[in-house]
Amino acid sequence: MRITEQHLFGHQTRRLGKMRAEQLKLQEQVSSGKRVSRPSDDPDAYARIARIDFKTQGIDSYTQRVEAVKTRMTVAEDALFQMSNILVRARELTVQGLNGSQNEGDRKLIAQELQGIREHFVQLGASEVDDQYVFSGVKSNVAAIAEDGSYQGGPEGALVEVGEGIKVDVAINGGAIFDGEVNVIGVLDDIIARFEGGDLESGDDMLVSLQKAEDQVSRGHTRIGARLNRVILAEDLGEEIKLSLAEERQSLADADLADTISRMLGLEQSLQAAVQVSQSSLQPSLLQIL
Amino acid sequence: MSLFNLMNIGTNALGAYRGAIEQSSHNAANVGTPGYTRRRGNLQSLALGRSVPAGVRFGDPRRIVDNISAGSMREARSRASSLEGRIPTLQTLEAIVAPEDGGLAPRIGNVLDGFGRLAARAGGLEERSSLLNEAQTLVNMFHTSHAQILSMKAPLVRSAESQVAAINDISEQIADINGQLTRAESTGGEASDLRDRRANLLDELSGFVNVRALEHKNGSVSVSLESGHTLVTGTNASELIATDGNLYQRGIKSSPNSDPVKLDTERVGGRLGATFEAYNEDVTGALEDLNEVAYALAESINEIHREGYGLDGETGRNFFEIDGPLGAANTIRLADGVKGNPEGIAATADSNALPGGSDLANRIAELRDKGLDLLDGASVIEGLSGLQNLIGRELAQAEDEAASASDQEALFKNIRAATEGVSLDEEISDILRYQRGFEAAGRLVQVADEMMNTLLQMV
Repeated sequence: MRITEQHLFGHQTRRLGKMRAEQLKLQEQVSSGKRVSRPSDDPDAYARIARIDFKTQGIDSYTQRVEAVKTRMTVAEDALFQMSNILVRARELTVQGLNGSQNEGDRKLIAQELQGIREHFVQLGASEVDDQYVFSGVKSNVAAIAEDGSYQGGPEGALVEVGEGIKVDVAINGGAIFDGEVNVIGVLDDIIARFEGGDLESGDDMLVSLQKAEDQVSRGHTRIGARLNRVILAEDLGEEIKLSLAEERQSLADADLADTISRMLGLEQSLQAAVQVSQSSLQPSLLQIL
Repeated sequence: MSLFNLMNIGTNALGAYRGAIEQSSHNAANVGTPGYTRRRGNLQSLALGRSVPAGVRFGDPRRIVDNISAGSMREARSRASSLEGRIPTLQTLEAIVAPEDGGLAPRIGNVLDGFGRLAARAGGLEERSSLLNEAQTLVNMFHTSHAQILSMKAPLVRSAESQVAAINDISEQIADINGQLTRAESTGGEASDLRDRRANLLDELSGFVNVRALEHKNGSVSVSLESGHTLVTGTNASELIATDGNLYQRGIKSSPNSDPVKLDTERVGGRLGATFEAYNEDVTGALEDLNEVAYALAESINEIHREGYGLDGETGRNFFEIDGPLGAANTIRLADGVKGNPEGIAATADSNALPGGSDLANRIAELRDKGLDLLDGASVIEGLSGLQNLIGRELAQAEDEAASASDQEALFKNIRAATEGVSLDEEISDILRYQRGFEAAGRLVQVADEMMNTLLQMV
């Protein structure tokens, strides 16, 4: 086959051009650390990466909600803990008041302290986080316990997804705790009235009612504790999923630096060789003889 | 044998070798001229009558052509151009639908997650306000993407127009040369330069459209498109017209008033074919897909939101407003009922569960992974990443195939050049050879002259 000048020079230009393009691509990979930065780099890998990123964003959102729910549950738990404590104190006072050695004046003082506990209980029932009453169920804009001690909140029904498929109700039905088998405020009011009025014929029922009240509050405490645990579990699970997603993403997206750099060095050598060879092969020509 | 004949032989030879050297020099001088086809004339031995030797003449130089490789090269060039021509459009589309920060996907995620967060404090206003901000950001991004893709249309139309203008110009030039050539060659001999020019014009034309060239006995070439429509026949050239996404051909000059014929843009090839494909398939398709995603998202959210009750007790509100599926990404906006009115956002579908109920907010948040009817069962992220994937694949494929078509073009170019191209080694060794001949001829003339003198002195 005849070899013409245009062939020789054209061939050289094409060859070198291709090598330089390849070199540029590898340089970009090394400097960015990424093998896939655009869909056209690897369309299917990019699609998977996009899905991973979307999912990761979702998990980050769960994390935010976890914080919000944890705060509500923690405040509720604390309030219930304090409620248990003051009910224990109420029982102590009642036992004291029922003791025969007490006179009318003493009982009136006990009644006063019990009144203080009654008001404290109502206050605890009105615990709030960010203007949302914690024990009022979905009626979060209204305090849980009314003046007369009845529950004026709403039912539960504020499920929050805190992890994949894990939903926790952030609304707490205070009614089940304060106004269930017994109405806690009612029990306290009864005792206060009887101590003030001096009716002491039968006192055991007071203690029975108080015990029931304490149990009600304690059961509520346990339930809320369990919810809190579920939230923490969801948080840990989310972290695990995020980690494994990050690993998968790395294997898809990131450049294997060792491999890329060695390819780059090999290419540089080929380029040098090509340039030198071209110099020597283009020189000899009959032009020198003419 | 007469001495005059001897002189004659010498003179003829001098002329012949001078002509031969001229031709080789011409070739050598044009070694770098793109599209130059080497000329070759034959040195033919001359005889007067049947047997009287008369030396040598230098015959008519002709171009040494390889039409088969030329045709293959043009076809490969058309193919390479038809692929390369789409690459800039696809690269721009890729940058729009798959920007570095993720583009639409994370912003859609923010809106859906905004509802998820609302569930944790449905009685509050802050979460609603921030949800409105996220939604407005998403709306803005839809608008921007739509506008960016739409703005690609006008430049493509202008490209098509300028490419068509170039094609029409080349067609006219070829038609013109056809006429000149027929006249020039009617007296015998080859109009090499005209033929070279015409061949170069055909090469150039093949970059714009895929053409077939057929040479007739009278030397004119007719040029037609892949679909068979004729661009040039004899001295007549047709006119191509480009409008938005369509290509027409007005008949050859003999019937200028005939109605333009519509051509199939998918069978045009070359850079013009690429421009039409970019316009009709790539850009139009991307716009349609974007609108489809916007419509599906807005309608899916609205369907749920309408069932809900805002903090103000109102129901039946849309969250987004869209003017139908066409241009949805352009017309999408926050609905009047919620814009600037956070209380209008619903989190529950049960009026008795106000303000803290979260059932509806959760249903909207769950659209993250849910298949949407309006996307044929695909989720919103699948719809978006489907668009990215399509463009990415088209681009990767175009780049790949363009490179290999380009290699093919180079291969045929070399094969063609092997026949048509100038080799300096060849020309120079020819020049040396002819120089010898010239010297010999000159010596011959001297010898004849001396012999003549000898005779004359005898007289």
